[in-house]
Amino acid sequence: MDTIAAISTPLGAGAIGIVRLSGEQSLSIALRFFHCSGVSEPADVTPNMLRLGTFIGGSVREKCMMVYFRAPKSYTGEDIVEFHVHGGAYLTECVLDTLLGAGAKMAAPGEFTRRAFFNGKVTLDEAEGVARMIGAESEAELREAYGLMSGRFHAAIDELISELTKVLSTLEASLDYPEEMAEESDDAIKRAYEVRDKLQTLLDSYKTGKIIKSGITVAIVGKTNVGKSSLMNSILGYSRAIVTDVHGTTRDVIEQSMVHKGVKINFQDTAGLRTTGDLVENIGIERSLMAARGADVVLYVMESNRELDEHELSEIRGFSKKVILVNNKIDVYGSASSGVNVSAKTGEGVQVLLDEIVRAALGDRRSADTLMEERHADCLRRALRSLNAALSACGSAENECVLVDFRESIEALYEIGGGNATESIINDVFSRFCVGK
Amino acid sequence: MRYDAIVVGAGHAGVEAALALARLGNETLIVTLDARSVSHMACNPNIGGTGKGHLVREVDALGGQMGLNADASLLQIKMLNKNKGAAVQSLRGQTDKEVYHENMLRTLVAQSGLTLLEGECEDVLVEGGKVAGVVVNGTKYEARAVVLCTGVYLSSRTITGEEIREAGPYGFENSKNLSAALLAKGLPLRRFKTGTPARVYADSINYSVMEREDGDYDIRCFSFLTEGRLLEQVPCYLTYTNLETHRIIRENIDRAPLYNGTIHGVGPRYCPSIEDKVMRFAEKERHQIFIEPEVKGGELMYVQGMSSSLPKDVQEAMYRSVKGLESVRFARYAYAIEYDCIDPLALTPALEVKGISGLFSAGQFNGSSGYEEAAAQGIMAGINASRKIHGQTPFVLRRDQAYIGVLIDDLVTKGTNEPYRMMTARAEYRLSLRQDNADRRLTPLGREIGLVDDRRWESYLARNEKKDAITEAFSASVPLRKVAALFEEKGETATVGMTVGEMLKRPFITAKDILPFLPEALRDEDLAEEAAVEIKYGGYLTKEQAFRAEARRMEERVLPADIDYLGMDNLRLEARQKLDKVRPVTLGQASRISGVSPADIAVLITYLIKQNK
Repeated sequence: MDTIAAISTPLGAGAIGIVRLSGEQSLSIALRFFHCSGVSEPADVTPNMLRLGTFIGGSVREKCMMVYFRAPKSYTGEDIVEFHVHGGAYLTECVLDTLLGAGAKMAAPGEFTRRAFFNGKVTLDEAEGVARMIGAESEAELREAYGLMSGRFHAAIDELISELTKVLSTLEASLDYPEEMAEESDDAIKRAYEVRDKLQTLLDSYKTGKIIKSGITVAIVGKTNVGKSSLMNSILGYSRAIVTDVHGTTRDVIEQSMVHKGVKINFQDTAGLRTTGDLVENIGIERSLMAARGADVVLYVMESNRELDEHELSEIRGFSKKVILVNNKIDVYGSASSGVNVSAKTGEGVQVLLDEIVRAALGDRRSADTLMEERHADCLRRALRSLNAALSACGSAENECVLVDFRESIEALYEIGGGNATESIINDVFSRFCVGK
Repeated sequence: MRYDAIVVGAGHAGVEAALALARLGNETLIVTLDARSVSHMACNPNIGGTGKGHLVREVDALGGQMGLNADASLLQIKMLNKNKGAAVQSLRGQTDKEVYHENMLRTLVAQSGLTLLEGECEDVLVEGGKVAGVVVNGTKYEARAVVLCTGVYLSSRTITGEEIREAGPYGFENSKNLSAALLAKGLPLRRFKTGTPARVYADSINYSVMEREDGDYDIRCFSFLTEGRLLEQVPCYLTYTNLETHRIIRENIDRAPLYNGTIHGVGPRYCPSIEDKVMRFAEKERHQIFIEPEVKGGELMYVQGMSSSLPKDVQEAMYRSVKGLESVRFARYAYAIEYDCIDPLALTPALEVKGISGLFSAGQFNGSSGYEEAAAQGIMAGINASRKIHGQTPFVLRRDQAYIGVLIDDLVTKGTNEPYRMMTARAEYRLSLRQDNADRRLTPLGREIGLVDDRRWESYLARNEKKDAITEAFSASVPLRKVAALFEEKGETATVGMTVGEMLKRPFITAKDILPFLPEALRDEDLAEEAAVEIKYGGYLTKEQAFRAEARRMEERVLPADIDYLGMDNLRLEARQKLDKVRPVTLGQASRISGVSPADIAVLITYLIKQNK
């Protein structure tokens, strides 16, 4: 059985949000992201005990509680891990995203209850509650189905399904009608590569949609005393961060949001990068790097009379993010030839920088073409994974084997809108190929 | 007259049902309109094909007759997809139609506890929701179970252009009164259509301009009990239609019953008539035509690919436009046939008609097509009728156990809008459901049921013991020197020694290659090849097994027969109606009904919990 994950508390801003894992891999997946002193392997975790620690993964770095219920003494009767994090849709979704990225599968509607039922765990009251909730969920989905964005999304999925169906029907027809299909030729695999690229594009647009919904996360990094905190204060228009001449003033990540031309931007001011013996500051520097890796855009700030050295260049590459070079203090040192020139002190260049941030994160797109749910994105990710597996096995494995992965891929897509893969494939065989005696 | 069970119809479904019933100790009557039509191959002269070959092996593994009967009448045998993986390889045998019929008739007559009766079944007797017998030509025959296997004979009519006859296939009489009687009992009947090409005189064909198609001489036959190879084989021939053929068809399309509204029945898409192919695939310049023998050394040939219901004069013109058929003479013209059959959603997975206890059905009456699909349902209906008589639980094969399970589940859960044909694409556990392991999957079940006799059982045990020993021998290590020598022959290199199994994982190594590394007593190429399949499929089989485990849990949850779906407010309306119509036996079956969503299944689960309190 797969290990499944879902957000178990209602969406929206509550005080606490719970993200739940169920299945054999629950604890091992959880411990990849949950850090807590005295816990490094599954055996260290006492069941039924709430522990305080830090969830580190993706763009999340969050103090939270974790509790582990050992099978069969759990709601589903399987191993369960719950993360209790600060509420808010964005944060819980990020945690879920991270878990799904690590191999958990998005739970289908009612799946926790179904598993609980099969393991003889669920009580009537609970089950009825869940059934009500599922009902409400599908109603909400129905309403949403009329939305334009979601309509576009489903049209895109339908197109992917129809393209992939052609790939599968060609391969299936050649297995079921070897004598007749010898005459038919079709570049099914080439078509499959095209589907793969479209799937990837659709998933990318999911990221865009998510950024628009949750804001662009921008990490401000650079060496000490280049004016990172001043820059943030200048952007926000008030003194959020403490600014001094002392190197290493900023010790922790300071967050603040603002809206620029209708797009939300979340700034993270970080500790300056330098080699130091100060323990607290070193932790801060470690966090700066983590913030940079988790951000959508990194502002690398330096004084405008300096060039990047080799060490900085390799550090920037290590972020593997979109990085904007910011030359600060132009009021003192004058402008540089590349990057964005600003003066945190006078505010010169700040609006240009904000425009540049939006462009770096979203390109020319100001609205996502499609808007999709996390559940849908999970289906797309699985479809992509299976499709890649199929394509990499093409040529070395027999077609009936490759078809196992192709099938998995199309079935993941069918999970989004419902429907029957086998029927459509067989229909396609007979509509496209002249087979049969 | 009183019997334990009565089977109506002695086609491919009827004979399997009757033999299963009699062999399970039931005094059985089998009724046919004409003894000359017993196991008559009304269409193509072959058994097997993709997916269908699997069904034949499965029927055989359960203790059925089709495989043995086909082997005894083979003219040619071929492994389709021979160059592809084991899971999609299917046997197809050309058979002598007369021998096939005669052998089966002899088997029926020789079977103790089985009586063959010629006559027309006119009615099914039902008392208090239970079947009580049948009426044959005005005489009552009582029975506790009845199996309907009426094939394409129910109120059938054949159509050749403007010529329409109230008749069964191949000029046999049809069944005139039973349809109305079944309708009156509330059975949901509907009309399907199928067709067959012309039979032509062998000596009027010019084979020299056609491509000769030979069989395979190095493969096993259908039955697990048949030893050896088929050494004497008869060839088939391949030719093609051409633009002239297509022109003739197009010019006469207004005279085609399919196109001018004469035919209303729904025909199978996978068995299109030649006029259908030409009209629907106008861009194709030619279509394949196979010339196949009807009987050994006989005078008639079957023209596969030229099924039609066009008028006789058009048929003559279009057949004669084909290369090699220029002066062909017709023995029988092609025709379409329409017939009554049941909507299989009215059946349980045991193939029992819902609402009439003890009434079973199988074959084309259930909306399928093909001899093999019919035989598969026939043996299952026979087994279940017997179990009903003896108060035993139904015998239902799951989709992960057999193609038979897929076939019956598809019919009774999803229904069908055209005569249903088996395809490997329909089997989601295709890699596991192979023809080579049909015995391992089903023979122990057949033994438990009582259809597998001692001879078959002992042969099964011996065969699989040897196969297991071979699998075990695959773990023997082979030194680098020998591995390297073999790899070099294949143009590959080896740098380490490895086990036989590891060698087999390489795509370029076949079972034949590793025979020398097996103990002498185990050097059986057929069995080694079968044992190697599991290694060759490796990770893909594991993947399939993971799906199976998950699906099994849903399959094990039984839904009570008396659920009031229509009154379940939490279900969506469509789901309520579909569930009420199908009345699924398990949660798994419920989840496969089109129009039933995961949320509906959650509601059903809630209901089950409530019931258990």
